[in-house]
Amino acid sequence: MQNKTPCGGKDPRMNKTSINILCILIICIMAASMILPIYFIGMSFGSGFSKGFAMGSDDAEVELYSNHTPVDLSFSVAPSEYGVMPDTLVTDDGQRLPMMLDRATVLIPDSTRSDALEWMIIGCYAAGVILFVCFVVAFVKFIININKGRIFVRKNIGLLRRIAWYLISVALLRCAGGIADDTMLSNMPVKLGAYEVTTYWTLPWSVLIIGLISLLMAEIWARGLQMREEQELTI
Amino acid sequence: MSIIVNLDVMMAKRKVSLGELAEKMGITPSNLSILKTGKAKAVRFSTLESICRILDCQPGDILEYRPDPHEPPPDSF
Repeated sequence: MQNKTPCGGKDPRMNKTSINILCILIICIMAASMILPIYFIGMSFGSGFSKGFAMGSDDAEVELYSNHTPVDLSFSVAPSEYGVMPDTLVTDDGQRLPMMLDRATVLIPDSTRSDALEWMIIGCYAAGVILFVCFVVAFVKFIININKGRIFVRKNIGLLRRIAWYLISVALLRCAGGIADDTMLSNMPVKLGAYEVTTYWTLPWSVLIIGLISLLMAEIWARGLQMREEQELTI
Repeated sequence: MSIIVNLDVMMAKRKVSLGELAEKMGITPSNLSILKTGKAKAVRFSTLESICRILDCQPGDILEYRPDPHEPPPDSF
């Protein structure tokens, strides 16, 4: 005899399986987003270390780096003439392709260095990393709750609100870091060939929007919980 | 809440226990207890109908409106 699902609805096991698959997918992507950058930074650190060791024997190279602090400053660049690719990229088979840069990083000379701004940048990035870790912890807790079938509970509303504020704070910290970067860059007038160095900063819109959507989700979740409680207390 | 449930008064008048009334209504005693203690957020007409039928009373005997002294008065019509 064939088993029928209650009220002709979807089999709850199907929903559980799709939730499980989504949870595993999200956790895998989050793990990859954290592990891969660490791996690539480690690789470039290793090659940079060996190159630096080789450069140590070259007096000219040592002279070039000796009056610069080991703090890099990233900024945006854009071609002076819109739509013109000012540079050329040569492929392995000798083909020449038009190219343009959109970001650059420079080592700051000691004369333009500002300790206060430097600490502000480092502080913003460090706080951003801590907040990101808190976000991951809260998100994993939320996923585990959903996976265990504890969906419309007060704990999840708190977790969603925390996730939202972590994301909004990360966006604001990145913005503050960008302002500090630009202030430091404005102390050091630079020219870069056919490019214009843009010293404007922007908010990380995608992070901010996801944060605000999470906040909205938390409020919808709270309303859902209220409706469920009302439903349960209707006799 | 300004709505007072006087189910316990009516049950005492009719000398009916909670379990007995719940059994006759076809609901669980815990659900009826929620209603009796005033913790319920809403009452279905069907529930009210079966209470009135079993206890032989009117909805007004079960539910009473008592204005909350702390609540500001509503705007006049």
